[in-house]
Amino acid sequence: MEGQIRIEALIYLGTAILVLIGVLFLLAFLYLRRKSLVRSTVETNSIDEIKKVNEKLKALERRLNDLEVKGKK
Amino acid sequence: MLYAVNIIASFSILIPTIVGTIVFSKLSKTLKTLAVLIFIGICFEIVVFTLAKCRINNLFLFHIYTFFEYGILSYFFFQLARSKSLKIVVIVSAAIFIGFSIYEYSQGLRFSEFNSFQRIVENLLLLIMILVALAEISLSKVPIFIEYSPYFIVLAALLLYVLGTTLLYVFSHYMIERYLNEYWILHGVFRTIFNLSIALALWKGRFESKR
Repeated sequence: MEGQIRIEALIYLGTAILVLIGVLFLLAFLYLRRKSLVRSTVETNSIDEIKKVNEKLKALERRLNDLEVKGKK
Repeated sequence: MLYAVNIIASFSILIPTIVGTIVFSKLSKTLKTLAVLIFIGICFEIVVFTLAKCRINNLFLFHIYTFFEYGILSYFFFQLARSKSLKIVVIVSAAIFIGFSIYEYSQGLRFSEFNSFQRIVENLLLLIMILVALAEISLSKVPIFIEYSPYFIVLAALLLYVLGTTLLYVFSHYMIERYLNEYWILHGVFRTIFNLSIALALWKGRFESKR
């Protein structure tokens, strides 16, 4: 009788634990995916900004060189 | 209480069936596969219910349904797969399931018995496929809000159904021997949640791009 009660408790408790693990797993999956997406978006944005600044710097450098050449003349 | 839950679980399949029928033409091929599973499921449900009312042993139907269920869900995962690894997992899992089924029937499993071991193997193989599919989705950046994707809803519903029913199948022989039928209430609850989630996924799937 006691063994039967233990197995019956195991069915309910075990199922509840398994389902809880499943729910937590899904929530963790969604959280981690969102986090990695945000991080990769921020990184991509930063790279784009660096590229833009780099292009501006190159343009300024070219202009400075042109001015220097004109000055010497 | 058990009877009421069983009735609700049986009738809950009507919701995804109605939704599936309405939006079937707008669904992607992958979701159409899932709708077919629901259509077959309701046919089995009607026959199972009728045989039970006539007090005829209907356990042989569960054997047939397990093959249909596993076959269609495997095909669903195969269509869902973008990577080769998930396709390989699906094919290997199908081979394991068929191999195990042949072994069990050769060892004397009768159609008049409940196929609990076959169901446990099915659940474990489905669990592996779900986890591999989720791993594949996690590597993809599209869609951003994956929780609204019908494919994710199906995977989440299937994961909870598999986790919720595995222990029942493990102890099914113990419960059947002792007439502990009240535990099947858990199966009814998870089946209802699964059916409602599939209905939601099919409804959302009408806007989904073809896949």
